[in-house]
Amino acid sequence: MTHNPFVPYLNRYTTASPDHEAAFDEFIGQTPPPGGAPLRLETRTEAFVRDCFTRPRPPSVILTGNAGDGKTYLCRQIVAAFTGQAVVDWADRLDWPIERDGVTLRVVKDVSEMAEEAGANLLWELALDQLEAQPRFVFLIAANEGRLRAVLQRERLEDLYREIDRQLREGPDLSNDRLIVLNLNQVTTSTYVPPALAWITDPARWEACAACPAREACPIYFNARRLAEPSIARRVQRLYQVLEHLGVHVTIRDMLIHLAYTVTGGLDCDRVQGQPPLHWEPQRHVYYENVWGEAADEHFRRKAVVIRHLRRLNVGQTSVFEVDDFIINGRPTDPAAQAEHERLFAPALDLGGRRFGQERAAYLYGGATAPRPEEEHPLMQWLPHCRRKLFFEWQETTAADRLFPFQHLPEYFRLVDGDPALLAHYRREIILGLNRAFSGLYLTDADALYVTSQYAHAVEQPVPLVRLKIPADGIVLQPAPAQTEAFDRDLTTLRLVIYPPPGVKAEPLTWPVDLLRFEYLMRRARGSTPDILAEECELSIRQLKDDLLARFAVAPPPGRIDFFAADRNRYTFRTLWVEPGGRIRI
Amino acid sequence: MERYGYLEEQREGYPIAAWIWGHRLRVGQHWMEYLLEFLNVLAGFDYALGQGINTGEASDRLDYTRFTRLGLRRFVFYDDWEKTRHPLDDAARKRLEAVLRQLCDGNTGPDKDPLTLARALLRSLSAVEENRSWFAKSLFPAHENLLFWEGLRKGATKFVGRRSADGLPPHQLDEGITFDARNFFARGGEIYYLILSAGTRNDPARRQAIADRLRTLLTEPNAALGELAAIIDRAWQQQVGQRENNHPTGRLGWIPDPGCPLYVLIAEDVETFLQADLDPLETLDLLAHLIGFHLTLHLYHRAHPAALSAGHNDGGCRESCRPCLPVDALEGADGGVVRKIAEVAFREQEANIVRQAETYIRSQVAEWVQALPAADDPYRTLDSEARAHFDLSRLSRASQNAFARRVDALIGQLGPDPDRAALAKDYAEALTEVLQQDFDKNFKGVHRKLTKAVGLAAPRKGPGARFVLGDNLLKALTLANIPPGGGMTYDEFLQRLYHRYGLVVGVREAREAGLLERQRINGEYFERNRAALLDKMKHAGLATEYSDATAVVGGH
Repeated sequence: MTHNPFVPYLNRYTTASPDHEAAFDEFIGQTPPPGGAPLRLETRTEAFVRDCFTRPRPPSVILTGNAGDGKTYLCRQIVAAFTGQAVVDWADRLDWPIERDGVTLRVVKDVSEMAEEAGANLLWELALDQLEAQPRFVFLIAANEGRLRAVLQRERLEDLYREIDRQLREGPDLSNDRLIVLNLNQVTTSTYVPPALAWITDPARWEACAACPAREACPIYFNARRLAEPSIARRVQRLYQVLEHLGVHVTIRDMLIHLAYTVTGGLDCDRVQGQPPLHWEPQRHVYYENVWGEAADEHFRRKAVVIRHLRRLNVGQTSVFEVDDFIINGRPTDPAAQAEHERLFAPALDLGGRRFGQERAAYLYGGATAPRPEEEHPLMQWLPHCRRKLFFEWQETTAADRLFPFQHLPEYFRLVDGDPALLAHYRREIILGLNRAFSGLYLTDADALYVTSQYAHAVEQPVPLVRLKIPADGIVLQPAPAQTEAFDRDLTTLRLVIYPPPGVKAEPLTWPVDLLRFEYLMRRARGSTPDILAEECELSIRQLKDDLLARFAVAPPPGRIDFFAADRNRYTFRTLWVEPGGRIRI
Repeated sequence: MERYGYLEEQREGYPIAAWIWGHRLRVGQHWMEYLLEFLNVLAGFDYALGQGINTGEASDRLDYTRFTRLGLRRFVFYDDWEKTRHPLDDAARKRLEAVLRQLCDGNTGPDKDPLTLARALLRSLSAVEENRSWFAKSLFPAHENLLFWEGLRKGATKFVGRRSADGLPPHQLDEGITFDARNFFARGGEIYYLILSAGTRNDPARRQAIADRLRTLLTEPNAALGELAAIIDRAWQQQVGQRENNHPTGRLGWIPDPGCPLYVLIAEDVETFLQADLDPLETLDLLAHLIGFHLTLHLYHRAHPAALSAGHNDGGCRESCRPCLPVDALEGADGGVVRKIAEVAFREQEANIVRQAETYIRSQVAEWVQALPAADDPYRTLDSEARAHFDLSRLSRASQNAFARRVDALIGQLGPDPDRAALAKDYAEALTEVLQQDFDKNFKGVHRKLTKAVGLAAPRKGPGARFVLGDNLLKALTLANIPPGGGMTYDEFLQRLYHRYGLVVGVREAREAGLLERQRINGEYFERNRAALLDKMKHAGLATEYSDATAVVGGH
């Protein structure tokens, strides 16, 4: 029995196996896998930090991020570059001083591993060193944000805390020559998906499969070949991008676990070769089912972070007419599309050989009644599978994107690309959505943003009082590019910039509009009920309302009451004036 | 027992609930009305805490003004759909409208009529969701000019006559409306006023801060709305020709043991809460939730089995009388284990309340029996004591007769010179029986009603109540414990919730409270409970979680 040694190597990445931790140490240590070079992800962060340390007076660098973001890996690379040799053993060195040209580089690969005392002392040294004109030490510290903040506050290192807090919130200050703080939570991992996939599916690693008797029936080999195609790799990247737009940060470790699982599905050569050909369904382990963790057990699904988030997107479980129509009928009127259909649905391993073709023919020509009347037609069970297949393999990517549960996803991406006419148009819709969200009423006015307040347990017709009215011209919807040379961040989101109303002197307020908020506001604006996405978004909208009031509200002119009154079939904005002489007027 | 508040000279006897929890809390009071009554009393004392006391050092003012604002109320609430019509009120309303119309400019049709708009505006602030007569409805106090006391037109619901209102001068139209019915403003707000006053007895700075902040909250924002309400009311007052100092007045109730540290805790919470900078309407709404929560704590504190014997003046009762309130944040996600524990705890607290009433009666009777002089007829002495202490004459004829019959049976059974212990026991039983009915009818439901309304217990309607933390209550508690700009870790926050209020969420608190041993469950359920509450707080924007799983509550 021939085995491909690369498969067990990949399986060690997935948490499904007990050798899990060893795999990551190897990655960090860059031991080569069977059949070629180790995976080397060229990150911009690495280039930047290395560049920093080649300067004669390097700044101190603090790296923060989740477990698995690559802090330890980076430290190793930097040390290797600094000393000129590969790092072999680092286990017992918490704080490692390295001399070069009269400057001592102190490398601390994890502040949480140090005792509290030692951690506090380290930060004191950093703070004191910052104040000196000629720094003696250069620090490279990897830490977790929460722990860092806690220790700084406890030790009352206020200047250092302020600087670190500022850089964490606003982004790294690259011009600062004493201290740079890099938050690896800001890195968009989707940038690394194509290179990682290319490395995994490199033909050199799969040569050992040529001699295997089960090669044509092996899902792992099938996956490796399909994922090598650039268009499919781009669709996987697309999935990661959507997650980023939803505000989910995926660490490099999680990405590697997920991609490894996507290829192997938890199978290995023994299990594939030992299967009797007729009794198992290899299509359950095809890559587009593995991506969502369909064949995995409950435990793995909960542990693998990416799978947990992707399952919430629920792609393929609900029916989308264009997609289902294409699967079942093809498109006979359009020869190019029909040819595409034939290419996609030709008998293959992932369609159960001829099984899908037969069921489809039975459905189309034999009628929709199932052979066993109490069940639904067997073709219906193929539909989720085929929808997912089309998500990755269909050339018409805009149609395939309809499988996401976001009605306004295509509009969002078009706006992110920065079409100015579109931005102006959608600005009005967003304002309408915000008006409805703030007041809880079905308002129809989009010429201004109204910030309202009312009694929460009103039993009669609610009449919200208007506290702030910001004209639509003072609100701008714009893409917010977030590129920096310090790390790979290819994420352009949208943001709303709200300028103060006339007569008020204040700084404009910036509010990021990610995919969830955009979807929520657009649905509100187009008339949907407030409970959809309310759990995720409603409170951030309430926060926006509080911020607007805090920043822009001024005392109204005496005697003026603004409110929305119910007026037959809509709500109109009204003002009541209470004059000093005791008179009331409109 | 030391009492704090206003003690009437003629009255000596009170129902059991008053002796334990103060005079008084009653089930008919809606949860929002505690806030309304409290603000009415505070504004009636001109925003000064600590007034109205005649036990110990008497305060400057003994009476608080009760705002009547009949013109405003009729204008907002009395309409064609009113359920308690009366010809006098009809006439008054018509007259008021005519006067107001002269004050308006811009009547250009029904949809731009300023009076209709003003009415809709004020009516949207109607505070209590129940269908009541116009004189029993209240407005949410967006401004102090919207504060007024509960009224009652005597005999209005039974009115069958054909009394004509023509030709009556306006001030006679108001006759027959009194302001001392205690159906809805049943002294619950006065109790809260007394609690805050007792809790700030030794801290005048805090007392001043709370009073000032509430004054600002009720006078500065929404000034135009207040002015509108004032114009409407003034228009009617001018018609009636009444002067300002003819307002009815009221006097406070009383609370036991003013030195209790729970009252200081409540005052601390209120002071911290009022420092938050929220929209004023939201602040008052959350304050209503907080008041309900504090009164529930007061109920549990004094219903604790150790409460009668503990001295409430030395601070020890904070530890010994702390309730154990496990909170279900999982909502059944774990198979209902924590939910069951929370249900059991809720029932336990209810049982404590009932049991405390019985214990109190028993201990009082034992005291009297102990102090009986040897010669006299014991039954007659006991009777006079009981009558005086519990004011038995207020009960119905039937109950008093039943009690007399019970005592006669007792005399028959034990004889003229009974054994002291047996006498104490049996007499206490008889007394409990007669007082039980009043207790059940008027007091027992307060606990359920308050906890369900503020979000401390769920579900709102239906059986199987358990402890939860609703969103508004969670926000109110966070603001009451973390001053603006402050912050603490999530674990510290949970510890604080336990040590101050007895709320149990995570494993550590469950272990401290002895819940793990008593219920014999795995601590993991409470771990999940803790994580679920953190999720809730994150969604609500009250907590942030950093990358290494440290979570911080508040703090910006």
